[in-house]
Amino acid sequence: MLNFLSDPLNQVFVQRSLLEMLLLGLLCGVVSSYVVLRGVAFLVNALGHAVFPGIVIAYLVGGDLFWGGLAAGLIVVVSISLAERNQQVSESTAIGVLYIGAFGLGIVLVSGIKRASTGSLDNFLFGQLFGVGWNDVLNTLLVSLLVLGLIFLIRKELLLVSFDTQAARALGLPVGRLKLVFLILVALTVVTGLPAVGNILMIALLITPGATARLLTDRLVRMMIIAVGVVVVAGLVGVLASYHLGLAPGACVVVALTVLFLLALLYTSVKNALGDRLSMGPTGKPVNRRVENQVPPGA
Amino acid sequence: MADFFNNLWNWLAEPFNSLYAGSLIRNAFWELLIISVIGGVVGTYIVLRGLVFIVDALTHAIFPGVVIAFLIGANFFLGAFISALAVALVIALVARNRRVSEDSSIGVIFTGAFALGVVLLSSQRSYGRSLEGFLFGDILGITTLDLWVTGIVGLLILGAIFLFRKELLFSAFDAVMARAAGLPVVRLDLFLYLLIAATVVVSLPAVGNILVLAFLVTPSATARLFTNRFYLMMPIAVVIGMLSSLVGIYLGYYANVAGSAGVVVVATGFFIIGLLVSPHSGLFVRVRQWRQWRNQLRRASQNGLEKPQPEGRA
Repeated sequence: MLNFLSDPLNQVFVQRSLLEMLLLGLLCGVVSSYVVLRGVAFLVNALGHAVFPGIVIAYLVGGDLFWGGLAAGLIVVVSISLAERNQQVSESTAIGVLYIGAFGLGIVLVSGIKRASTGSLDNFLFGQLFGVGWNDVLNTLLVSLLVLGLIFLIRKELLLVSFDTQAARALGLPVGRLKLVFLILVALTVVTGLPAVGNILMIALLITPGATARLLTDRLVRMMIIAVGVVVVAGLVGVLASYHLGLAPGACVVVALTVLFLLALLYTSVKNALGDRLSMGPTGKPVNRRVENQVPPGA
Repeated sequence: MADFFNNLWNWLAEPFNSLYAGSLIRNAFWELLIISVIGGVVGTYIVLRGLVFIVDALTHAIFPGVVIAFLIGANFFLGAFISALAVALVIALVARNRRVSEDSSIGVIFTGAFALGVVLLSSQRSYGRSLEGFLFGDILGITTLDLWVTGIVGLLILGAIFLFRKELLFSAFDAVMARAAGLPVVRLDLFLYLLIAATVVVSLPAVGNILVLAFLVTPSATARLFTNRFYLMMPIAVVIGMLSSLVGIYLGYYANVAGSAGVVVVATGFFIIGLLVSPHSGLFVRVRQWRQWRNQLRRASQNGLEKPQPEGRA
């Protein structure tokens, strides 16, 4: 047991990847809480795929993958918001068509570099958690500080928009612009996770922790703390499983995350089912609370 | 002039007649045509019923099934089909929990299933290559047997849709009304998922499981821009899919672009053109309407009829 833990934990590359997962957990826990409350999972999915052509172009011209991915993500987000203004195109159709088009463009461009270097495609898509360097960790730290700081500044507006978009609009909040700012923060988060888990698996880190936490609590701050904890636990489990079994590390982390979600779902379902039975009256008969709390007629 | 047309014809015919790749490209072409027909018909219902995200999830989610089938040496189609059904069922179950919205539960389940596929595949050595094959297909690897399978399954799908065309049309346009009229909307949706899953699975060898979304959704979304009539939307979608496939084949042959991805990019190009030139809602039409409206206002104000109010202010 001791070897099971100490063996990997003494390796510098494992420590580095765990530190990276910890930082990503902090970032994604907070962002994914808003993603789930705001109900923009499909847009996040689109954004995760849409950074791909930018990464490939940056790779081709020798630029920074981070900026290439960010630029492509933003272009696709803006195109989606333009396309859905057409009344014959629904929001989900605009998202689906444009993101898969951008992704196809990425594949087309990759087929150009394939002859030069084989096997780079899955590195783009799934990252290399055990290959992250100190500069990647530093980069993640800086972006996390930036994104979390910005979210802290607009936390009240984000909260209002997430819970009641119409009330926010009635109060005069710039709902459209807030959504755009939030999507820019999501895009920043996606490209930060590129070296570690790649763009496809970042989608999971941006949805699943928030959804898991939402199952367990109704309070936003508690939700964020749970979401961060969920990513950290899944990160540790995934890294250990990947180290000992020799499986793809990023994907192991996501599978662990999904298992945690299913466990939380099972827990809440069982609790809800038992909840009816636990609220028995003193006579052992189930108490119908709804009837009991009603004002008697004529009172 | 005759010379020019002769050259053009040679240029157009060359990919299909080339000595080495000719038969492969002919197979690829027929396969893409069949997929365009199924995709155009099924996609029309997907776009009108607003099921794009669920279809996206289904296409990603068949991945673990394909990998398991690959690892244990079972039939691909069977593995993909079972995992698509399993994921559709799990999403339906999770979405019943009121705390998590449907789109979040779709996102959680499909990314999880997809990651499971990557984990399983990474147990194989040199998994990068087979991974790409699954995700993006190999359009030039289509055999005559593949063509037959796609054709027969395609006929079955189209037949099933023909039998239930009225019910599907009703629920696609107004699900609430359809339910009120006594149609089993949930079961009709499940039936549609089944047909979508079958479409995704037969398209798998040619276009892979990620890009198939474009074959299912993009031509129909483009067709929607050009017509308001349901039964016109389908043939337009099919024709757009076929045109994209043809251009994609030439791109692949002359510009060395990855086959199915090239088709996807061309189809997306048609959609963007549609956004600009659509006769009902295109950007050009809107700009012209806006100019006319502005001129009317200007004329009215010059005639001293009424001062136009600036837009957006009370």
